[in-house]
Amino acid sequence: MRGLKNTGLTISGIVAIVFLLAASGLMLLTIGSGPPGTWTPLSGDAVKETTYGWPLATAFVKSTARGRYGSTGYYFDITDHSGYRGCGGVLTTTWMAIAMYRHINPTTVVMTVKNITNPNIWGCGYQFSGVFYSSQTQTKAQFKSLVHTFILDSGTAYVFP
Amino acid sequence: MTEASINSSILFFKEKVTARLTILIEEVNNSLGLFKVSLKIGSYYQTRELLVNLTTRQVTMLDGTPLGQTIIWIQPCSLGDRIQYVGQGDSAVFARVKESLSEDTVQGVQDVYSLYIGGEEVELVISSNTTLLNPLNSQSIKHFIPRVNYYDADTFIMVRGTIDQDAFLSAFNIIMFSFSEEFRLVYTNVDLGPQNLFAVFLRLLPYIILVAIILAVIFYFVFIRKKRGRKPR
Repeated sequence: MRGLKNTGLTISGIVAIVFLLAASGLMLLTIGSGPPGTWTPLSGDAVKETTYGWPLATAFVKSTARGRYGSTGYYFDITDHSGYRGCGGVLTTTWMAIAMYRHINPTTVVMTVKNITNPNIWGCGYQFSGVFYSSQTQTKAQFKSLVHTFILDSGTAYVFP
Repeated sequence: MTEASINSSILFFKEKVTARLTILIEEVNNSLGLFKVSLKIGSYYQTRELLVNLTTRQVTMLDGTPLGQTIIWIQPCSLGDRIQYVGQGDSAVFARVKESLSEDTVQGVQDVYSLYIGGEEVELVISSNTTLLNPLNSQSIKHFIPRVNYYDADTFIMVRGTIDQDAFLSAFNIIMFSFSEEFRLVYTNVDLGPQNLFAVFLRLLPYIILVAIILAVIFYFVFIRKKRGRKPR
């Protein structure tokens, strides 16, 4: 009986270990891959932009997120995320807000929200860089025309290894 | 239940998700109101009954658990004022009434005040291992996300802005949505006051000018040129 119990324990132990190994393998696959030293492309979800005006845009907000793979290829040895706004013509601006999220380790996110109040300055940007596992950026800005006020939201640009 | 035992979440959405917060005043006794608040996010739907001090905007659950202040409305103020927005004492968050604008609302074009709230920059560390934020400490100058919110200039009800860290949201254990979500007042039975007709006229002005130009061109070609064409040489 004791032997059977031990066998049962051993089998469930092995099964558990196999599952753990499989899970950690999946996690590694999910966490990242990429040739060390190369930058993620500045395309797709890494760039988000919203414009106003037709046929030419007279106002825009833009967010970008980018990362360079570290020596093992499973993290970014540097990430770089930015938010911009710009306008021209009869439009002017009052404020801009940039939210930046970044994983400093796989379980911890640091969120920075910056509010910039600089009326009547047409172009403005904010950039952040460092060693992170992910970068997410979102930019909002208020614009004013002669007859109305509106807010543009870039949406969230993000990059993960 | 104590303040520290409330589990609060920050919701991140990959896609844009519509959330609807419904606030119903059931009973008012002096300055204390019994509110029925519902939150719907996708298939999630929950209702809470809450006690609200209408003067201080302090919200508590029926068992007495404090949730902080609601920012759905503010105390009456005017342009240039600096008001205590949320929080108490040294950690209070202040707002400045900076601009008076005309804004599209559910009741037409209304005068609104834009409030510049909080500091210039806030950094929050969100870890899956530890709970750093609870409803009360999130309403402090250290943790309150800076923002610009828009309030109706007659009723001081929020018509547009960010409701992250609001006490009504905390009742559903949500401290904030990710930055992407924006609050908009979509229905109210409160009278927001008369419309700003001058702003309505200004907005219609480009169309009025366009129609006037078209009419002038038609008039020119149909009457003036025709008349000239008929003149004998």
